[in-house]
Amino acid sequence: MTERILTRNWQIVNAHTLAVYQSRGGYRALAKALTQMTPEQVTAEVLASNLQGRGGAGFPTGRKWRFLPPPDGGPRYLVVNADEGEPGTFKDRYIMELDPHMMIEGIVITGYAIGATKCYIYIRGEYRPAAHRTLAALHEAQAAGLLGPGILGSGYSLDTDVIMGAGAYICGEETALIESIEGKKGWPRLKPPFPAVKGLFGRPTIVNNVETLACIPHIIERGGAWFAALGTPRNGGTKLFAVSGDVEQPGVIELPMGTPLRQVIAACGGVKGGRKVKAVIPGGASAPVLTADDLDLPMDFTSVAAAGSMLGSAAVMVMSEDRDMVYALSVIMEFFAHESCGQCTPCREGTRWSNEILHAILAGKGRNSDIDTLLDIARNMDGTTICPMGPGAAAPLRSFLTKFRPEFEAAIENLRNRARGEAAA
Amino acid sequence: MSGELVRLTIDGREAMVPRGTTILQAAESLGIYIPRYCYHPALRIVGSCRICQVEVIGNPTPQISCFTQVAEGMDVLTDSPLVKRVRTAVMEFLLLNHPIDCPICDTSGECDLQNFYMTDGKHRSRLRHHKINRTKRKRIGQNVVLDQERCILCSRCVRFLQEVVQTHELGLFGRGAPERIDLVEGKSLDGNNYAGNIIDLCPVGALTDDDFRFKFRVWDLSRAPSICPFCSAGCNIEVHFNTELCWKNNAMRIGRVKPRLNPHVNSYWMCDIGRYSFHYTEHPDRLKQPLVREGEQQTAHSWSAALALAAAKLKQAVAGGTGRLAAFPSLYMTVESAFLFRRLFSDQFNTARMGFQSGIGLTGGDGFLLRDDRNPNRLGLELVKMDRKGGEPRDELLERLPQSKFSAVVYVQELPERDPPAELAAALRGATAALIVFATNATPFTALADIVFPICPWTEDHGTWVNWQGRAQWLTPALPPMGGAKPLAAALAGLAPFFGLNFGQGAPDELFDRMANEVPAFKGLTLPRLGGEGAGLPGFPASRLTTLTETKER
Repeated sequence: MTERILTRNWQIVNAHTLAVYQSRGGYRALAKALTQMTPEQVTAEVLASNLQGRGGAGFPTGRKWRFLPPPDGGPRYLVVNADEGEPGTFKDRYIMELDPHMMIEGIVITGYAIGATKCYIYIRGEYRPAAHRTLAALHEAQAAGLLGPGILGSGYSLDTDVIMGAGAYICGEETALIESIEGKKGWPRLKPPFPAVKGLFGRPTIVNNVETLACIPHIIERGGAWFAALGTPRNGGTKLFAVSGDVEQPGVIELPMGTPLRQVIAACGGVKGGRKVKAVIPGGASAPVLTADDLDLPMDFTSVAAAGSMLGSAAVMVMSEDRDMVYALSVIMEFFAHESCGQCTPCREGTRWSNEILHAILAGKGRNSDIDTLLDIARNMDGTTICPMGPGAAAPLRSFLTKFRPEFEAAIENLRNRARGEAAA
Repeated sequence: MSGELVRLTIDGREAMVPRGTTILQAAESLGIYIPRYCYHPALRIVGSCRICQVEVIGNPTPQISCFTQVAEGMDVLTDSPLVKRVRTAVMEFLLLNHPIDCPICDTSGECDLQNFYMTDGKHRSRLRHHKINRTKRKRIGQNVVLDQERCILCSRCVRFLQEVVQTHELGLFGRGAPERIDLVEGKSLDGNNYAGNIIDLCPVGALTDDDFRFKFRVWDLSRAPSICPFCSAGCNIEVHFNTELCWKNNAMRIGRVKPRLNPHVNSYWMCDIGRYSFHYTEHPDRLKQPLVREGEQQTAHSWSAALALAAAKLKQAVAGGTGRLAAFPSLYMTVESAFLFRRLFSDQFNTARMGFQSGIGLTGGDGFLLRDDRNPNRLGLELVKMDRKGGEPRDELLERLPQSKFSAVVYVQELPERDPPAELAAALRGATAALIVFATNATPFTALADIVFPICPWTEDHGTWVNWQGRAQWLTPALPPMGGAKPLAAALAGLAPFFGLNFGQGAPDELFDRMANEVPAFKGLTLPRLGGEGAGLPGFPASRLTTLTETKER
């Protein structure tokens, strides 16, 4: 097994405390960045690392930072997206609960690189233990001079604030998250302008994921080139995979970018009960589903995208041969219908409609034309909405229906016949 | 933006528009209308309804034209197969949870769901499941009724209340398909004088007007431009009426009044005081024939007979310069009428007292549209210089009438409810030889007058009003005069020959030219210049002539 980087402290007792984190080499990277590097050098190192945003979009982090306009003396913000809401994803939670200082060190280095004057950490409302650990760690760091005014005796100061979400999936979308911090309803904004230009409170803002930030200290300490070499040519570093579903040992596992899907499953003890794989969702509910034919796919952003899906948050959901795809899709679409923010028409109406149809099929009221209707809904939600949630809801719909169409056709027929039989009896 | 021009192509036609223009606006400049629900030129762009999507060549996904700005060399298609597909999809999505109760919906006929279904929908329904049930017929303001089921969540009403009047009564609650518009807890639109505008803004039948609904079908209504008379703002309005189907509407020809765009005066808006005060003009107590008192009875006379009687009474009362005349012009009369009134009474009788600086209705302005001065033409009367000796406040002169031994009183009604009490007319009986009244509606006061002339209210009148800004606006009649009522100017022109004056038949354009010739403030102004948005009079600051709001940074 390769070296553990992000998870290196997870099995150490009390790794969430400052003392243990520092005894394991923590905050050395921060000292290096603040005393030996300019902000521009930090950004250059991150660019060289090929680090891509770990929230799901996989956009190169260094390039995102470079979108910021030159400083104008006014405030600019770093926002930490800890609203981990993509179904199947639970990696950021582990970081915040088991090793919050790694994230905080990343926050301060990033804040230094982008010239942030304040950092908001937006934590999913259900993540109370994670929020408590994060808050405690922030207090410790502040008391030790690692946060707050004049960090480590340097001229750089950073203030932080923890904001708890209220449970809306959409607030993981960066502009909805910004609206939420501003005290408004979590509705995604029209873009442009992008947050780097006009974000929180109308000021330049960088929104980064927890895991992204946890990578930063290692990149600074050991170099961008080292980090890049861990992964594939265009996808640097290691990746946390949140594996769930029909595997023997579900959980978060750290593997290099580009590890084949088959190995990811194997690392979790293989498929439960030695059964065969039927389907795998590689990156959270909004990633198109893969089939048993795709098990050799290298799990990195580029390769999974080339296969017509997306690595997303790398929440791997394994479904074995006895899983009912119609039911699985109905669960996913129920989620999207519940979580659509209601702002723009296609997603608001399309998610509910598809959910209604799927539940009608399950109730034995399906029609053969339903599959084409569902595919039409998917097409009409894709690329026609304000934020990526429309395409995100369309992806499972389209992929399940095209890759498992015979199963859907059979289910419509069988469930209808059964319902009629029951009615007759 | 700096006025730099960008060249782009829309549906194969070239357009040159300033940088910063949206595709929707650029298309509009070519006469290409792109459907829209959430977009309104006076509100923040939210881009949520998605009906305005267009294809921008080179872009894999359709773009919303209300928000996307033009770029050099852009090639836009508003009618491609992709555009048709996404628009039909939006129509299908919007109608999923819409009750499609057009036959009983008051907005039917002017509903954008209907309009765009015909242009961009025409799909067959594929819905087989239950529509979402929501609140219907919820009264959210004095005249505003909300039907949440018909609502398509475009949020125009919410944004108007947030951005324009900033009172925040409405909000969007919940999320996803069951989302709905509703009153914010503890708030009501009852006291909001601008609530009616959200009915105009609603592109569907979710917000309907309780003062109007179920009285006319909108396709039965004709529209005529007019000007709101109920304060000195002079908001441009449109009168919606039907002269034949009034039995549906309590015999009233007017169904409703809507704002008409004038960017310098009222933008797209008007206030509820203006919107709901027109009813008196169609009331059964409207005067339809001249009345002459004989004993205790007023009897109907012809115009010519009544005019001759009035002239005789006036001449008799003020003969030889011994008798005195008190004249009450109205702040609702046009500049032309005021000019005739001055020529007839102030210039003729040097003993006349003029009472027109009414103090009535001088409060309650809100710094947005509604002004303190609840009269349409105070400035106009001041410019005509009604009384060279300086007038006297109307109410004060009225009050001291019985004691002051005026031999004749000429009174022009402003609004029926502003008429003095009947006791005043009774008290004048002994002291005054003649009480001559020009009025639109019968009141206890007019009932005791010696001669009553039925005149047209603003809905039937012609002429010029000058609003608080110093903007002269041309009022045209929306309706033919009711019964034998005549415009005040025509009535005064009919009286003029008895005093050796000649104003012709009182034709509006002739009178205007004559007035403009003699009143310095209007020198050089011609009728065509008044058309459309009106014309600022010289001597009034340009800043005042183009500001919607008075002083407050809102």
